[in-house]
Amino acid sequence: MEPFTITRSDDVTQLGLVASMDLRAAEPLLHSFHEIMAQGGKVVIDASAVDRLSTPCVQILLSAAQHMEQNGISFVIKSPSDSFVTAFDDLGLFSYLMKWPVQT
Amino acid sequence: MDDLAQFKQTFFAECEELLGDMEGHLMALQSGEGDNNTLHAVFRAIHSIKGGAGAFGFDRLVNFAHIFETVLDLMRDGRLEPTPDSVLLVLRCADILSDLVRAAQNDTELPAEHENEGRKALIDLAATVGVNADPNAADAELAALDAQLAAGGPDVLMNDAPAADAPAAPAAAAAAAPAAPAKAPLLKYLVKFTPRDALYQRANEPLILIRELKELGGFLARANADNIPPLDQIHPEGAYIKWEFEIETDKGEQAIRDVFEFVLDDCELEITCLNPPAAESAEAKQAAAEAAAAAPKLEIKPAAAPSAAASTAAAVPPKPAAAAKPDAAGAAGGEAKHGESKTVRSIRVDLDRVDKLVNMVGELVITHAMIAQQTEHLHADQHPELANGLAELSHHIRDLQESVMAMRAQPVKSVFARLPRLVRELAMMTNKKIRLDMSGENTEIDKTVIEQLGDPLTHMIRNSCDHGIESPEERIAVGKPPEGVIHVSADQRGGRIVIEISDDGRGINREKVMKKAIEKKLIAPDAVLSNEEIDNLIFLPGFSTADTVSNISGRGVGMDVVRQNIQSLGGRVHIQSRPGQGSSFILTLPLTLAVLDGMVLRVGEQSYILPLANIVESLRPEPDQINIVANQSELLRIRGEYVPLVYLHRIFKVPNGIDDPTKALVIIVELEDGSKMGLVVDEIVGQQQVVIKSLEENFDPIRGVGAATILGNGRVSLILDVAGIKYIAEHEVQQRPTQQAARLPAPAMQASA
Repeated sequence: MEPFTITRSDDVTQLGLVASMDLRAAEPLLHSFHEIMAQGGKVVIDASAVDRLSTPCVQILLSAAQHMEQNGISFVIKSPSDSFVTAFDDLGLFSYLMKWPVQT
Repeated sequence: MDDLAQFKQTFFAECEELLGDMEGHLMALQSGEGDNNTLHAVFRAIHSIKGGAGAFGFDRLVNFAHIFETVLDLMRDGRLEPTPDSVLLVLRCADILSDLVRAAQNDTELPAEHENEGRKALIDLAATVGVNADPNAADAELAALDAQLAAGGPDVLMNDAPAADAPAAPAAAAAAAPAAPAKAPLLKYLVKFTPRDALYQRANEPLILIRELKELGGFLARANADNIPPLDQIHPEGAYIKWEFEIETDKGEQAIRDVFEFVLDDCELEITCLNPPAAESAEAKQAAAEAAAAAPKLEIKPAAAPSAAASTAAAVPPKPAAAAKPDAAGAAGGEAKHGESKTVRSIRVDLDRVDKLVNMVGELVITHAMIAQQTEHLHADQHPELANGLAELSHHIRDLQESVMAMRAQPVKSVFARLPRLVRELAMMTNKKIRLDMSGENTEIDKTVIEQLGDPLTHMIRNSCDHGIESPEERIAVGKPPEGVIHVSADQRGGRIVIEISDDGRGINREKVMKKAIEKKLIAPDAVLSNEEIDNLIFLPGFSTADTVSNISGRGVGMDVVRQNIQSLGGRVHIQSRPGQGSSFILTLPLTLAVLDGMVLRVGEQSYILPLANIVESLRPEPDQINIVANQSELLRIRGEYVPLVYLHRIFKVPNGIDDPTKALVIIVELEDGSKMGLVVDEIVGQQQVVIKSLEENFDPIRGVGAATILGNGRVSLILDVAGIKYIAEHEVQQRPTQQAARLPAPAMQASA
């Protein structure tokens, strides 16, 4: 699978989600978040490229969001793709997504 | 191989089994023997393929399978009548589905138009009862629901029932349309779904299930993510979210259960009907219970997890019950046919592992033979424990060997299943009407043999369709029904499997075959051949009687390849033809390629193994039982029957072999064609189970020798091939030296020779 891209400029770390966020992507995604959390600063999650989103990846995103909320880390979901939104919607988690700051 | 590749491999192996099973049911449909259970079985196969394909993102396959299963769903619900035309469409679409599976497997892209025609025909067929089977329409529905969501926020009830103020979803609305006969009541269900970790570990995805549930009708999903652990404690394959779904559907509870069919073992599932029909009478309940018991689609098998989506990271994920080995009862009844609730537990094991086990058992057999030989000089009464132990060991080894071989055995159904499509396509290409009948599909044979049987069978079927079966006009002109019949059967006879492919076509045109063989210089122009010999000319390399090279039988490379393939399996093929009435190809194959029961023979200083399956009896003949025909061949007269004698030492040029049959031993052997031969040997040493070591793999093929083995004394011994010996005797070896001309043949024998 293609790797997640983590770019950092100033105090902002951007995580680029990959197109296929399937089961195989869950573990690398978790590691990416561990890495980002260790760096600190604002987090931008670029969800524009997501074509498929699996439940295990959604769970990691929920956990990461919970962590950032609890630790006062500012984060934003950038340009979520239709597939990204539809997956949250179908899973009955649209309300969770609606609570997160989204940058279109 | 990474996990995903392994899952995929499992998925495609299971697809192959599902497609094979489906083909069997489709044949039943085509012949008019199918019933609702048949439709259920076909539906389940497609549904399973779709489920697995979805997990791997084979969108094109999923898309086509979706439309296909929608139509089958309509058929099994009785909304669509299975007419000859619609059955034909189902058959065609099953072929397309196979193509899509194979394209996905080979990572090739079929032309976009490949499934378009079938797809359109399916959508049109569904439209005749007011159902829109086009998943693109479902996309439109999704878009509409998105709009609803955006307006109403999360957790909006997505009801497919037509509403005055909302755009009706075409597919589901049509499904709920009053056009459907005997419409079931719209019931509301609460489904509580709590996945376990194993569900994700087996690559299952709740999203796929949820999207399938949405197709059933009005749908509301409520997720509970309260148990999501902190980032430093979460496991990527853990299950932390649980759901409650509200579903309003007229398809019944079973349709909901069907969605969870493959994950039942890996989740907690609770389904409650929120508005059961109040006026349901006791009789109605009883009738519903009976209907539920009778309908196989209601069958839930925890062990039957056929999709690769259900594969586990372990090497042995569950196997579909439908593909489980048919035992005697299964073979007689067919589980899909009756839909009895049986728990069939099976595992999928890599063939290499089984092969290793087979090899180990082979070595065990050899070691046992060595120990037995080393201890044979000891008196059993002096060493009773050793003798008993050896006898028991022998018994256990045989049981072990049989069990291991049974693991490798598969019904020939898996290879027969490809034939109906082949015949359908060939009939279409040649503008002929051909029906395929099959019998003995549950005959079991070693997997290695099965794997290599596909090509020869295909060649022979092609030959029958192309050269054997006549055009409908020709058939009518000679007083035959316009539809030709090809019958493929499998049967176990003794230690061998006999597969016969017969057609009721024109038979072999011997005159044409002779002419062609002379033309191609395959035989001398003045050759005098028997009918059987002429028929067998078609197995010569480069032989083809087709006036123009067709793309069906090919360029005459078919039948010699067939013979080579079959021979390399330790089998034989011969043809029987009746002009104007048809031809039969008869294949005989060994049950296994690993071990055989044989008789150890001594000729001179050499030992040979003669397969027990060939032996009829042995005797030391009296001089008056030996007759000499035309001063050449010796015949043994036994109970009024004359059997040609063949001296094994002359065949293999072994020095010091006994030349007088009355002082040697004659073993009467039977060949596959029913003919007999008397093998003259010096002595029978004893019966032994031997491990087959392929000569072709380790050396080169030798006529008259099927394989080799290692005896208990460590020496290599050759396993005889009696048909090859017969050939050598007839063509290469002068059986009777002139100095033995003393015994004169009886006049009657001369006349009959």
